[in-house]
Amino acid sequence: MKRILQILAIISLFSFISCNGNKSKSDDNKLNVYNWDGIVAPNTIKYFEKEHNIRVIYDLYASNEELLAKLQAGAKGYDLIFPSDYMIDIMIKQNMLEKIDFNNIPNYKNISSNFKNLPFDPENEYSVPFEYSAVGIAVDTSKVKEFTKSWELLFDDRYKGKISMLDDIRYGMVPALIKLGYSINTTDNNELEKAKELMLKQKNIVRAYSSETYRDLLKSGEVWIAQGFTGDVYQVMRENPNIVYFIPFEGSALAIESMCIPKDAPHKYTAEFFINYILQPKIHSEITNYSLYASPNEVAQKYIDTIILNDKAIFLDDMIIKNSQYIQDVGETTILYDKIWTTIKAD
Amino acid sequence: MLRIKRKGNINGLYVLPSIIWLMILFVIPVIFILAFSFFERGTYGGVNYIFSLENFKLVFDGIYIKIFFKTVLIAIINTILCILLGYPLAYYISTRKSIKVKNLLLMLIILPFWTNFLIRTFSWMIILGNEGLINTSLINLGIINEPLELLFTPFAVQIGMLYNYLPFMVLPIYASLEKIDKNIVLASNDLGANNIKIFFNIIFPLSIKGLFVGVFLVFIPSLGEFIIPDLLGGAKSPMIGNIIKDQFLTSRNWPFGSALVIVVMALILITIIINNKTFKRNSF
Amino acid sequence: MKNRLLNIYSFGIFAFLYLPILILVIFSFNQDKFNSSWGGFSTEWYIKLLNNSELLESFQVSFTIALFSAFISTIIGTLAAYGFYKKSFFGTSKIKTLVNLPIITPDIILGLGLLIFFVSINFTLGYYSILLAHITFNISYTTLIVLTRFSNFNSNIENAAKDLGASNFKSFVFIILPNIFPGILVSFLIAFTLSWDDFIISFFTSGVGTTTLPVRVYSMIKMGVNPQINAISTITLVITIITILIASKFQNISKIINSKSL
Repeated sequence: MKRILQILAIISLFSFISCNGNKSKSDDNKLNVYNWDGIVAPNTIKYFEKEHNIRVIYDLYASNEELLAKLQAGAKGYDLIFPSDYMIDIMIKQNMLEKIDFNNIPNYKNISSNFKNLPFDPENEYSVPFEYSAVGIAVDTSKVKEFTKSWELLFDDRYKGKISMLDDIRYGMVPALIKLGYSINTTDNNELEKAKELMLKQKNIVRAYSSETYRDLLKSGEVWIAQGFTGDVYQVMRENPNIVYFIPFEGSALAIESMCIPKDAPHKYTAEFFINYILQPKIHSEITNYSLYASPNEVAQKYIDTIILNDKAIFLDDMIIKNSQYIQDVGETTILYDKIWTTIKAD
Repeated sequence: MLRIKRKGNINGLYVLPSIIWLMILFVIPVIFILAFSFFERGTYGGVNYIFSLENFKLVFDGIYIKIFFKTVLIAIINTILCILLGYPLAYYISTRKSIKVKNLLLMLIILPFWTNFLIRTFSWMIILGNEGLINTSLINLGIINEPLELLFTPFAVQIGMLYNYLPFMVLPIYASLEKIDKNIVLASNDLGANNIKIFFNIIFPLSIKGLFVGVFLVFIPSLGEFIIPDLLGGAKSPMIGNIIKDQFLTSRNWPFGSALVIVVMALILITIIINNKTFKRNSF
Repeated sequence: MKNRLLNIYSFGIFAFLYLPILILVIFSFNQDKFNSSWGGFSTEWYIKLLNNSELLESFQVSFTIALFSAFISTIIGTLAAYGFYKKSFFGTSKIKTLVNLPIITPDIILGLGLLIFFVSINFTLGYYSILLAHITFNISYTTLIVLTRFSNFNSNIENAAKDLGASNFKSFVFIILPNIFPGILVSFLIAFTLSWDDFIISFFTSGVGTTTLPVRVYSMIKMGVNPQINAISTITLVITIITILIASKFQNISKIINSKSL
């Protein structure tokens, strides 16, 4: 035992020394990116680093909320973050974002006007759209033969125990709210009460609430019908061709991820430079072809694979966009949503 | 004896490093967070520095009490299972002849936990799923026709917890069994006591301290568990740990989250104090 | 008879412990990215892993932090346990409660609290903030475990040594330490494991450029945790087993050398 400890001690001493000697000296050529995993294509960062001689440090977080909590508690040093729509809303209101100097981002003109002046950043001051998706339903067609492309499918008793819902306090409520004809951002007590009742009834046929592992479940056949996000589901469709994905015709919740710069970012100019780099049509399309999240970049479309462009679940149908909304922060009603969600889960 | 009493003050130095460390890096940080419980949640999720005790009132709302009791039940079941399965194993290891074998077995117990937690849990999903290992085997053997629903049930949660907490019961019990003087056992043998008597009258009582530590290291953290109910329970039955985590993340309600934590910690502390008064010898 | 029962039982428990591990290892050779079903044999994940410098760096970060936090917290904890043992007839219950508090504190509280604390004293987040955090929560565990070794401890051995002229320090190092060594070892193992597996505290106390392995793995969950993680876990197991085997060979050799030199 003592031997093992001694050997370990020596090994670790060497790695400790080498580990902490790795930090680069110069500060100007650095960019600290904080992002979800796999959002940029595998080589995007490497090519950027080579081409512009800038060292990119790429750290990861797993959810908007974790990002927020960490930044709220005071963590600094990140130059670029990729929050979702409602999170941008929250961050702007809490004064956590830098105003972007668009003089440094001429490629911003590539962004379609459909994705400018969005409700959470109406003056286009704090965010640059990066990719978007919508909440939809994935179905294993080897098990579910006939179905209508509607939210009803998630409430269908025939598939008891074969359904999974997103484990999310807002996105999880989307099917119920839309089915009842309400806004997904409603603050009306009665409407929320009715949605709660519907979801309590639904719980009997739900196998699991999951925001990520539902894909594993779809693949192995544990669930046949799952609520999910566009780009995410396509990952598993590659490995199980029986799975199809659609956005219900009643409309859905749109989700957009944008590039933002946190307050007091140490390398603000470099961040804006990077944003401009990403918005180049070739680069941006590469990301779309890899992640299968739709791109708000009009000019990039000519480089995107035709199959992807024509996929209505990725590049959404106009009608669906018309019927859909972005999730917005509901202020104090968040507490009510939390109570309702807790009640549903704890039943 | 005299010598030790005189040097009583110097002995206090031994605990000093831990006290200083914990005061600076534990007490102060935790007070920062828990202080939020006395204020209001800001409209967009920050903190409004207006004094309020509303959060504490909310804690005693029906649903949170219900979830708390469910959590306690799961933790108790987990602890009992860990004791029943863990004690014999600790005993087995401590009764091996060579110290090399003992150390090897210890390492074998802890080795699984040097793999990644998430992947281990995914493995359990493969084992327990309807299309998983257990069900496929049972169906192929003709024992059952329909798959048993094992995954995403309370059963799956208990199994997952047992799996991940077992070492924390086994290792402390082993530590206290290990030091039992072999001569005592030999002497009792010589005096004619049979193995069962030796165990219950000598070995078990001497290992009680380790057992108590094991219970403490399993029961208390079990109360705070949240990953296993999410992954193996299908998030259908949250434990109080899930609710607390949600307050700090998705609901952005740090004040309420802090209040919940204060109440839960207070309850645990009261239990510990009662335990210490009752079992003076095995106090924490 | 009873021995055989115990043997079978223990074997069963080890089977229980290692069944998920076996699956984990097998699936590291899964052709499919999503691990819920088998898609054919492939070693691509090992190759991808060897090229994944970020993942390997996280591994190194986690390993060194686990090692150092286990070392330091075991030392602090052993000293504290010894101190409690000595003062066991005075009222030290308040201090004992302090040492126990981190165990009853949820990770997220400690993580966020430390983050706010570090920020408020302008301590740059990074490798050392994580290390300090890990030592903090480990102290409670190490103290408690080493303390079990001290209950019913035969203080006469120590008294005898002192009577024979040994100083406090000498009696601590040569009498006490060897006697409580299994407790020290166990607490080191547990501290290492807790640090290695920690996610929440590491996430909140990490700074730019420092991602521990569990944090990286959790963040990968959005793209689907791919078998590279199975691969790295398998490699961890293999390295550890090889280290143990080498170490026990060393012990054999040194025993032979020692016995020969007598």
